[in-house]
Amino acid sequence: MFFFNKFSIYYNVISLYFLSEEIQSALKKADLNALSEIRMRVGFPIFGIFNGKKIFLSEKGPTINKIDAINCSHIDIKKCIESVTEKSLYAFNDRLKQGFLTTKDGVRIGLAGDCVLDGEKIITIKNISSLNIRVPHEIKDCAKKIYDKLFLKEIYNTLIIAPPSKGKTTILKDLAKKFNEYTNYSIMIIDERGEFSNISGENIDLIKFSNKFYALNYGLRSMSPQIVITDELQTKDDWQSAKTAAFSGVKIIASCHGKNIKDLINKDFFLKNVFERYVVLDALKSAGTIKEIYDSEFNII
Amino acid sequence: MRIFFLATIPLITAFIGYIISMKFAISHEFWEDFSFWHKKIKSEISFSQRSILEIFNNFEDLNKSELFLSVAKDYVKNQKTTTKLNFLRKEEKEFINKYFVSLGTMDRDSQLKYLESLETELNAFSLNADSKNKKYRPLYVKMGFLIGLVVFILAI
Repeated sequence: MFFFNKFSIYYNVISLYFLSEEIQSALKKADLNALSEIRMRVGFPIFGIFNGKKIFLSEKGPTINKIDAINCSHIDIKKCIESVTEKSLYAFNDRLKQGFLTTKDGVRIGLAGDCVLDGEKIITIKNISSLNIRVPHEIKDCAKKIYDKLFLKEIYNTLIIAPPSKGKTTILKDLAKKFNEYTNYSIMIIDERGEFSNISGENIDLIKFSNKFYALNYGLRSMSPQIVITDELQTKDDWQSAKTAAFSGVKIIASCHGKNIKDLINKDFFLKNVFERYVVLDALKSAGTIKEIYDSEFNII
Repeated sequence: MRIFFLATIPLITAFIGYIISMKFAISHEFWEDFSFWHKKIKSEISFSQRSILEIFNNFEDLNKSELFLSVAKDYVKNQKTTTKLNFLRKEEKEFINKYFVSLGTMDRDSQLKYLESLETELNAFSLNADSKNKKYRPLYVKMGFLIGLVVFILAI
């Protein structure tokens, strides 16, 4: 009841099997629909973000008292990583280097620890001391408004803009499902971090754990998609790849970190004329809420 | 009738010798499977991204006996084994523990380097088991037969 939200439209919370029994038992007493993140830092209390609020996890369940909270130990972190990697850390090397792991269900776990360098290149992360577990939710019809407004008559190259944890990936997932269900377009999802693992469909091709540059180069030629969906444009290569797709007659729907349209324009690698529509999500409201939609000239629609 | 009965003694003692020598065969198979596993896991780590559990499933049809696989699975799951390894020496048991405790806990490069650092020791144990098997198995059978033969001669 503590976290009950009568407007909650979340469902299908993904399994957190990789957490220690103590944490799992604490979570049993919590409303997982409201949980978006779990933070574990060695030597400090474990807490979750429930409906945007920081709540500690104790043996008796969620609590606001720091003193009662379960303290995170090296063993908790080790067990969690061993469970996610099935005690095969070497098999996750490429993701480890990028600072994250992804479970089979698409739960992304950010890692912090000591980076091991070879020259300027990070070859691995050791002595992992912090985990940020992003709990994905499937929000029924969260992309309905965007779909109805932007994709019913024709498909626009669209960029979804929001700060971290504000539902960009959730919206992209829902859009992919909608395209698969209501259209006959061939959809290619470029999933760099394995967060789209539970998305499949007769029209969907999923390229996992590949960077956008590679996936777009070989994917466009080999899979002939009509729509490309990809998460988080960050680097110059990502933007160039998006441009390549957009100028190849393929429609691209992507996401990008930012609070507003100004943040986007000020980005180093931002390329104008790639996207025809910009959807800014409301950072203050629940995940997936649309704030504004802009056209290619940044006029509000 | 008595001679016929006594004549079976060398056969029985040879069989006892064979039974005693089985520990060398078990040890030989165990280390042979271990060496094969070592090569396989190194190649898997270098070229594929399969988990240890997946590699185990693939290894089931390739090993000679199930003993090594059950010990390896125990170690990966529980960091120890409940299987009695009486045929192994103390240093061999310590090596197995050292090998499996760190398996799967390192990134690709570190894991490969760690496995390579254990290779000399593994090869030595494997060669030792092989040479003991070749040397002592026939010897125990022959000794058993000879002892039986002496008993037979003395008895008649």
